[in-house]
Amino acid sequence: MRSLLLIMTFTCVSCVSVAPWEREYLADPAMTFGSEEAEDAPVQHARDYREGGANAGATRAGGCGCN
Amino acid sequence: MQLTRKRVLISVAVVTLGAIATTAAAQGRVLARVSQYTERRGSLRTDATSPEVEGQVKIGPVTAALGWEADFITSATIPVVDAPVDVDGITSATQMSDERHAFRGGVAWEVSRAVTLRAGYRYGFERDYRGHAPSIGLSWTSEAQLTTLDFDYTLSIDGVCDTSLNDGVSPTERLALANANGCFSDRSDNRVTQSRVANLGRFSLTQVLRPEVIVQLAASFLREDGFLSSPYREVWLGTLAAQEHHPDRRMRAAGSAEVRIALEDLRAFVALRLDASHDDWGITSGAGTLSWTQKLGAGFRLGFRIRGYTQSSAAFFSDDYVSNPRGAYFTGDRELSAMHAWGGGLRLSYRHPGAGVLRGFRAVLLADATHNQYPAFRYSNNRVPGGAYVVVSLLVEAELGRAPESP
Repeated sequence: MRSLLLIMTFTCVSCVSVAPWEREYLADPAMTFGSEEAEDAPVQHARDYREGGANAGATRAGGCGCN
Repeated sequence: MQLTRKRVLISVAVVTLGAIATTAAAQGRVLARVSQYTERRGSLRTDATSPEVEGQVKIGPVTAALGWEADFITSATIPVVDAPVDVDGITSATQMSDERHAFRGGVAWEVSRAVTLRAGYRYGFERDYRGHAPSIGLSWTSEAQLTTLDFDYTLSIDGVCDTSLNDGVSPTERLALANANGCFSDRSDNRVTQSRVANLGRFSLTQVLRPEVIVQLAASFLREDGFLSSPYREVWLGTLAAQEHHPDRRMRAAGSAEVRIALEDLRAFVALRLDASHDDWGITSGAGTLSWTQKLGAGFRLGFRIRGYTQSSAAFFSDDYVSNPRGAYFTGDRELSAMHAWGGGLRLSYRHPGAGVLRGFRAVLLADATHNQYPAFRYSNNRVPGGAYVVVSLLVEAELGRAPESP
């Protein structure tokens, strides 16, 4: 499975070609991962405390005694 | 309250003035945000107001950032979860209030066109909590700028206040912390600090597939050790109520996949994201998010988002530990029961190209609503009503500094 994933990854990398004049959309903030992080932070913060498995990729910023 | 207001004003002033002063000599940005969280579950209510400011300055290949954020919380708190039948857990709820502050700083160094190194530090504190979180990160981008690999590691070292009456006492006889009075104070002899350490590693691969299609695959691993319960929650065990007792280790693996597509004819962008996680407490979760961003012209954009979430319960969760105990552990945390959530949000943004020292300006108004259902969770004899929370936030961001000099 891991080998298949690696092969697919390198296949993707090697077959893609994007010219500079074709980068209009890729340069848009809507196509940039993490560009909405600041505005989404309050929603993500709420999910951290309201869902047991949400945002499993992050540590909680603080504790809370509320139920 | 007087002290809190002064602390907030000083924090905002220091971060904002520092950022503006430094951007006068370089390039940078200033960000301010305020959000309001409101939750209703039957007669239970929680409100939180959260301000944030951040300043960032870029000098050559180095970017430095400094920020502060806070939560001012008012919430209903349930005295004993799953209490005897004659105790109504919901109507006997009391109000508590708390505030959280977190200061953070970070540096990013563009070592070359391909490699960026990051380091950061965060310190958060409440009346009953202290947390230090150093972090490091590395980014690598291919020469054609089609592939990006990111790795981040965060270490969290937290202290959680607890009552000293629990020292050397068996879990079923431990008492819940009544309040935060005396926490982290040398003058109090009835409070102790419990430790909690979290190690988080995250890896992501971002790949351009076509000029209008980009994908990201991410995986993370989180290990938490130490005191992982809430010191305030009590669980009814038959003859008495005891502080909830969670395992002192939790390991969680998570993965996500997201694709973003630019739709030229529609002047729009669509994104689909899938998340999944599993931990050794037995919780398996999955989430799906579909987003649409529509260009409206004159710098305005309107975004829509819908999301669904589901999770299984922790292996040691029970809604009644008297008749259905689940081993050595017991919890009053409804987020450890099986639950479902669904919701959606709207986002209106405006971007101005700026002029002179103001090199750009952005404002985002966001509203997001989520409905949670906990079908297996009860407060004493009462089924917990499905609850909903709404988050409304306003963010403004300005890019400042001199324009780059022409060669």
